[in-house]
Amino acid sequence: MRKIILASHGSLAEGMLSAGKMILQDCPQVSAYGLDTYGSPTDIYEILNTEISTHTDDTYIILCDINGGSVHNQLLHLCVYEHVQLVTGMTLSMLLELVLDHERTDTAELLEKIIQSAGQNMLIFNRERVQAELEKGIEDDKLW
Amino acid sequence: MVELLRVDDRLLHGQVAVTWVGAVAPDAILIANDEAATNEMSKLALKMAKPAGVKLAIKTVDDGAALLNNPNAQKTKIFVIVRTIQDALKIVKATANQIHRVNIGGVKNKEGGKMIAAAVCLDDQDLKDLKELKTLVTDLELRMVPSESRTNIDKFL
Repeated sequence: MRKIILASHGSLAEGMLSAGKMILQDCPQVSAYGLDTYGSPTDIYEILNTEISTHTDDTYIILCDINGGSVHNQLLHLCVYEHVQLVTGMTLSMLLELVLDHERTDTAELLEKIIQSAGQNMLIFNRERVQAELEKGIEDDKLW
Repeated sequence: MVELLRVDDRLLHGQVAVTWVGAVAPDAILIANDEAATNEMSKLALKMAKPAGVKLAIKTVDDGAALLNNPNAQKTKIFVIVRTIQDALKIVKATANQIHRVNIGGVKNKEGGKMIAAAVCLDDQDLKDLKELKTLVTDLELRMVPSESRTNIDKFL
């Protein structure tokens, strides 16, 4: 089974899970560890290490809030396990895609895909750009 | 031909749209909604939520039905999305025997309504219209995303 761990400063991880549940109703196999609740990166590491080391048949995907942050730096040590994948720069779109695309069996391919689409979905809108889009036309002129 | 008609009060939104479009694999998405069809900013937001590689039309319910009644529609795989059960019934009736599969994904909370699933709130009018809808289509099911198991709507009617 593939398990998803959200880890962050503050309560971003718990908030991310809450947002995911608002959209999907249910986020099975997702758990959240923020420093507000768990105190220190080492505490999160200890909890995860215990779980991960005893569940070697599962695959763990850890989403960290920021590359180089203390949570990430500590949880990087979990990459000694073959069944752990750690991804930085967690976004809501990444979480949604991970949960919704749970049938895809190739984890490496799935992670490449969520990172790519997270990037593609970071967009800047302003009046000028909105105007240009509207002028370009929204709908396809000929459907059939 | 219409592959699927979905009722979702948020119409086309983010990853949920992506998964349905993935599951239905349509050539075109037709959003049939009177408010969205007459508001350029709403249209733009819907366009941004649209997965790549699929055509999109945003029409009023009446114009959407007319578009489906065009004989050329038979050659295209179409995914239709409406906001309410009332609009679903209206478009099913207006397109005589073209829509066979209906999915109820999201129906907004309202006073006097009863939550029958996390995102589905039905009032008396909805129940009445669903009963009628059921006699007009072959498959009527309740499901937020394709990977969930299908809930048969009969037990709520």
